[in-house]
Amino acid sequence: MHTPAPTSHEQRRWPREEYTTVEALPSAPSDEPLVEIPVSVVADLQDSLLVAMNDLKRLEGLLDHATANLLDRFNAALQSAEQMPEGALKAELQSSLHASVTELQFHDMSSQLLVHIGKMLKGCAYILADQALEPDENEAGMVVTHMPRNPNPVTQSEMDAGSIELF
Amino acid sequence: MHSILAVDDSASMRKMVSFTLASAGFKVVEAVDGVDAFEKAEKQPFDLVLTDQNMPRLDGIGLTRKLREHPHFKQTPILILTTESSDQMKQAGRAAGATGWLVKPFDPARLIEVIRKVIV
Repeated sequence: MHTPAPTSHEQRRWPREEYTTVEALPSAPSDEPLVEIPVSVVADLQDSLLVAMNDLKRLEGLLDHATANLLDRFNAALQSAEQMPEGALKAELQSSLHASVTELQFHDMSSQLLVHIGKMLKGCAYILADQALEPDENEAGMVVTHMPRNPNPVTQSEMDAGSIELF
Repeated sequence: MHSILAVDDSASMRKMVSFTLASAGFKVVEAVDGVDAFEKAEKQPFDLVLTDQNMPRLDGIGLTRKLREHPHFKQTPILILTTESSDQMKQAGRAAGATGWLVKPFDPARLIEVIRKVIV
């Protein structure tokens, strides 16, 4: 998704159709402390979040490209190994290629992580806008919830094989 | 030759799963999400379904639920292969009728071992 760079504080608000959910504004707790932040600081924070989101998109593109090439080379190596004469070297090569299947799953896990992080950053940017900037006429009295509803689906921090549970 | 329906919205994962299963002598049919998988399952029976959980249109648990309502898939082993590892999700998979829950990344040898154990 390409998000154009904003040119003013008002334009930093994302288009309404990108909002995830809209709920009635709850009454704020009276004892909740408030923090005042200059609008320019909010705007700078939003800019930084936009930059981070765009960087994540580029990273995703790099991963997609690298993975596609890597899988092509993986297939080529498999075919070459297949044509080798039977022997210890062929067996060792094929064994190594099979073993690399676990690590080659990094792309799927990384992509899911990137998507989730992107949603979190976008949610932060929306919340900043909702809290600090004047609402549009049709947004008055509404609060928008932007954070992903589900927790991060990827909890692994290593590429060790995952658990297996049969019911 | 046993046939397996491999479902994942990630092209790289489909490639890894297909390569692993085909190397072990299984016939593999790929599907890109739960809807695509169910359409393929309606056209032909499979000996096992190996599905991702988080997918657009229809997720793995939703697919499992739909397949269990289909007369041809009441007893077919359905394994969910996913990054999700929470007990809550596993229980939801179990309640939907899944045979097992495998957390990514998978080890090829262990995946084949489990499939041979549960396949009819």
